[in-house]
Amino acid sequence: VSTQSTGGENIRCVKWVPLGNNVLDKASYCVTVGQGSNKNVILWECDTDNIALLDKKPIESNGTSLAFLNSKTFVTGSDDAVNKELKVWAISESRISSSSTLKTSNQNTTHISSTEKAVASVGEQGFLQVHLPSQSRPVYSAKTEMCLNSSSFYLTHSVLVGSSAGQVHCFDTRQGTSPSSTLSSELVSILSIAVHTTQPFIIANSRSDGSLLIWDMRNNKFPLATFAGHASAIWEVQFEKEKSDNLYTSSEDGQLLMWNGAALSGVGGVAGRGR
Amino acid sequence: MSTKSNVGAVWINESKLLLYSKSNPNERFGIESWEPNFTSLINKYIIFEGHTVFCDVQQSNGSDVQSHSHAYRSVLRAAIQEHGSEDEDDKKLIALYELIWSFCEVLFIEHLPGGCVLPYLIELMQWHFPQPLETLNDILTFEEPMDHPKFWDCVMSLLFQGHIQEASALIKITPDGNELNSFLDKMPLLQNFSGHSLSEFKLSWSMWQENCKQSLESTHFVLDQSSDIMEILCGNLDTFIKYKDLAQTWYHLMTSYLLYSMPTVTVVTLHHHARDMMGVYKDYLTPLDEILFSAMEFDAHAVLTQCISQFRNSWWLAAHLADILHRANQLDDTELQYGCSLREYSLLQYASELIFCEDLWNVGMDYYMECKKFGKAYLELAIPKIPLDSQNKALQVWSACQKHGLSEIGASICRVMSSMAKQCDNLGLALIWSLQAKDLVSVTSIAEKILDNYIENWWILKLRLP
Repeated sequence: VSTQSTGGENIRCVKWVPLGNNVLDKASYCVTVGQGSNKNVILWECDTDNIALLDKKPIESNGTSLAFLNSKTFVTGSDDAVNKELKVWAISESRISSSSTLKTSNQNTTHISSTEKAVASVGEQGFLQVHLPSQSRPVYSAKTEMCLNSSSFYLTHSVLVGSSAGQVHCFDTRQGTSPSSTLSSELVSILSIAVHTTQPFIIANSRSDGSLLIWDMRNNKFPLATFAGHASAIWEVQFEKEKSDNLYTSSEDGQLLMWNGAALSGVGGVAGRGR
Repeated sequence: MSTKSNVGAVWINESKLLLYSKSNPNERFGIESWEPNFTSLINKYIIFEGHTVFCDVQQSNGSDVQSHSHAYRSVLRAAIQEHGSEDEDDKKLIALYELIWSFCEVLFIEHLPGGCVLPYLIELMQWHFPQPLETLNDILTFEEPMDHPKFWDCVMSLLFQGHIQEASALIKITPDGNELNSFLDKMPLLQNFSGHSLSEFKLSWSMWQENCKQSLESTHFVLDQSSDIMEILCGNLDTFIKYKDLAQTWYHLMTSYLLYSMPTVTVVTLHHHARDMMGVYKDYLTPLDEILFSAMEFDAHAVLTQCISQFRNSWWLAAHLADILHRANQLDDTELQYGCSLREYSLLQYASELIFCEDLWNVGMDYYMECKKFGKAYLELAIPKIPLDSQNKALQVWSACQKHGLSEIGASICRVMSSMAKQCDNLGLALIWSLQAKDLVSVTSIAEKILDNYIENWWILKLRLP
């Protein structure tokens, strides 16, 4: 494990640039979006010994979320109470540039998820909105009564959203604005949702009390399993792409844990520092 | 500051004074402000990295103070080297922090073999005054190095800093090079004398210097500078004072003089030599010099109070230095006029600087919680003033309150958030926050509104409650 300083940038969200054909080859690249006094979108080049800043663009409001459509295009969300928009960015020859905006109803966009063709955003006002990158207005919009903290595209036409009331709603974008199904658990904020890469009916969600729930969407009465490995809120959960039974959770307690979903037990982890 | 007489002042906030004329209160002279600047990258770097080291110190409960002090010093040096180009004023300030920290570490914290402090001071001077090596690189690019205008200054500076090999390489090309190098090559150095006793080193060094003195009397040197070099090797104070401008500061000159007169000087007697050298530079002394002298007198309390007075814009140095000196048993817990120890007072002030910053409130919380006497009370006053800009931030502040046993404050936050959600007609969110606050009255009122909604609009909130 290597640790590199990012020069004091206050980073809110980081995502790897997906591997593409010709944009950025060989090295690994990631994009971060910042908040506070240093509000920037930054493209970094990473290897095991060094992190180098390639390009930096300022943003007007605190960046809150980030998702890639493909290796050349990504979308950022912010807490912009005035403009209420998502920004679409392009990567070209190690440079980033703002290309368009997508109008949203969310004053504070808490999370963005994406596929190659669509972007879903959720926010504190309880709106879920789905955009096509080419259209400024959303093509689908639904509202809940809760603050929504997380989202994930599910199957072909559905979006899962996690709320501050401990519920995960599944919205089918072809059928109305009410959830097609709801997973309910205790009144604990859902902070992140991940869908199993090969068994799409298996989802994981992480919560503000440090617990991790595994659900089978075909039987949505009770979770399959609940893990309590973290001392503080788990802000992100991801299934591993190659070995999809493995899960990773990162928490405010400074730990990154790896879970073996097949064995339904934790196998190891990395203790980090800070938040 | 205005120099007008009859000036009145009134507080705007904790770090701003409005100055006005007492005879005509409408006449304003301006605002005096000493708000810390936490927006620059270099300051953010030392805040976050310093916080990481601080948390490690608290968890280790005072063991391995030396390595933690080294960690703090590494943070400061890394800040200067990696982020110094951004803001020159901040860089200079942090360079002062590093200088003070380095001296305090050597004098209060390091385990000095035999009490000998000189090798550590030499290393300090080499780091803080890198110009001689930079000039050496420039000289070596010349075809005839002796033609470089700063050749002899560089030689003297290298000798002052104990760069014996480098000085010897330059001296070699001078007319008296062979004679001088025959002594330089044999100069005993304390850092090379491991495995031998201090007495053996003293004997060896005395004999070497005696030889230098005899050679000075009997040898005729071609150049005046060669005589000066020999005088330096013999530890002649007047020759050191002649070249005091190369040393720039009294502590550099003191270190250089001790290298050639008393290489086994102990930390206990250092302040005697410091006072003598400060007299040489008496027209150029600054408050920084008093801080360093207090450190040499082992007066940790004076060091900290002078740092607090000198660095009004930020409590970073005072807070972390007080904590590490306390861990090293160099600062006691005597209660001062503030009602708490100097360590706790410094930490409270630093935390108070951070708690109202957008990005730093949770860092400030950790410092408050390490103040056993007043930390919780200060936190209870500060938390209600933290702006709750978003649901997630409110959730984080509430979680922090739960973690630190501030359940009343946490409940208050929940009530505020519930009230805000009700104003936006977001009954579901309001209900969640009221449930977290365990506010029965509010929950009942919201439930009634939800039922009214159902009666009017046939809409019901679908929520599974525990």
